[in-house]
Amino acid sequence: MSNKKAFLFFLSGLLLSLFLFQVFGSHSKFKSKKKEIPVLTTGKPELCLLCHEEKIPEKVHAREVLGCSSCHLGNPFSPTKEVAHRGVVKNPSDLRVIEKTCGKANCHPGDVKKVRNSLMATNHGIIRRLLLIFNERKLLENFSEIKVADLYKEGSSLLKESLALDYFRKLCGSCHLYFQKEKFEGFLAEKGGGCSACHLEGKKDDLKKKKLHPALTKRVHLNKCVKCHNRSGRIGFTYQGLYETDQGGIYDKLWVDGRELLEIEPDVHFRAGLHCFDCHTREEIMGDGIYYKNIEEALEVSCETCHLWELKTRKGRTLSQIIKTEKGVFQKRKMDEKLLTVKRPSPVCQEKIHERLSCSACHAKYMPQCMGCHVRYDPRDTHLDKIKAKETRGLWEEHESYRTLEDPPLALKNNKVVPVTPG
Amino acid sequence: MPQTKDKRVKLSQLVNFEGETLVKFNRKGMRGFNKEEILKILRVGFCLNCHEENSTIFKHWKKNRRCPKFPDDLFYFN
Repeated sequence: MSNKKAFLFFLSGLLLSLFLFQVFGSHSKFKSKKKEIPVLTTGKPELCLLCHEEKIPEKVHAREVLGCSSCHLGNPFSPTKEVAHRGVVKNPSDLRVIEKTCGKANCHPGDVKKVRNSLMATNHGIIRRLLLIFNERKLLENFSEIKVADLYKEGSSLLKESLALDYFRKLCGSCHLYFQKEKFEGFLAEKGGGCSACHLEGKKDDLKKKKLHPALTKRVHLNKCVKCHNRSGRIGFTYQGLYETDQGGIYDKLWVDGRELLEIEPDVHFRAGLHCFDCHTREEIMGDGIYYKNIEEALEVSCETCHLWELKTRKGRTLSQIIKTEKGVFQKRKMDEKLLTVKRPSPVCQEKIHERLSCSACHAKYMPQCMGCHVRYDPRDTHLDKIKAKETRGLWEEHESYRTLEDPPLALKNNKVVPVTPG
Repeated sequence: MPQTKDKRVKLSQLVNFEGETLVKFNRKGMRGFNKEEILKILRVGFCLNCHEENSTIFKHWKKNRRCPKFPDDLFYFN
């Protein structure tokens, strides 16, 4: 072969390989119709993605990184539905399985113990108070660290026969993180479910029609908190300017469970656009690992933390959203990162004669005052047990006594003047 | 607001004017105001019923001074 021919052969070979690389290379637009094995960014095969095309809204939990099985478990190595779906978990954030899902070693391991020990998961204070009121001493002695998770197990007969716990199951048992929302309908289906109780956003319709997987967010809107924190002192209502009336009269708004609400002056912090998590710390809400007996022990933030520019909570933690500059102290709103000025109290508040007064003694405009609850138990009827997820014998009915919204009465608590409310 | 048998007791009242406890708390360290504290509270602003804001009697006030027309025991109802 002459040099010229050899050179021509070489050139055409080079051009051909360039052309083939352009057309069939991995960056090319000409994708092969034949289905390849889907692979995650780690190189691990994820056959779930052969059928599942749902879009994940947030980047941190992207399809290409996690696939489906990192959260929903199951078998990612099988192309058949029956085998692939064995062991699959519909709600990966259920506290019973989080060490395999959300709490995996390279995801959110620290939160497993913290959340499981937090009051929203244990409800220890509520259950203990009920046992005290019903005077069930044996239970208090044998189960001094009682928590909601205990009620889901096939426990001792003491747990089964307790009237206090029956009351809890039927009237309180839907407001905690172990609540299995998939077993209920209506507004009950929005509560509980572990991490998703607060962090999950999205509609079932979007998932079915648009194949849009619900999103996980750090920005927890206060409406999520108020799903449960709308009983007892009604803080979820009062903060946003709603008042649960005597019922049966005029009202401005109906709550999801049918309660009649009036619109009243909201808290100044609500008007400033602050949500619950703008003040309440991560450790207060999600727990810090310590098994607290009640909400009072778990709380750490106070008016003084921000308004007296102390910057540290009563447990010594600093709030990252409070920023101190030469111009003063500012709070960064967590929803939209806007800076708000933090006002200092007037000189009147700091006078020595007022030192026993807590901030809320004067600044709490009103508190709902519930004068009494009359509880009636009827063993002839049935009631939906929120833990067993079925109707069981024994109907609990609560009738209220008088209820008003006024300036709260003041009392002394360890030599600090505080507002109090019955109930 | 409905009233109980004793007309002077409101439903949310914690103590009576003698400082006697009417309501017990189920939390530690809590109590209503005692007689001394109630008296101090009732005296706040009482002077303004008769005296002007800028009256000279408010200047150089001595701690133990009381109004000669209203000694302490007149603050209590019978």
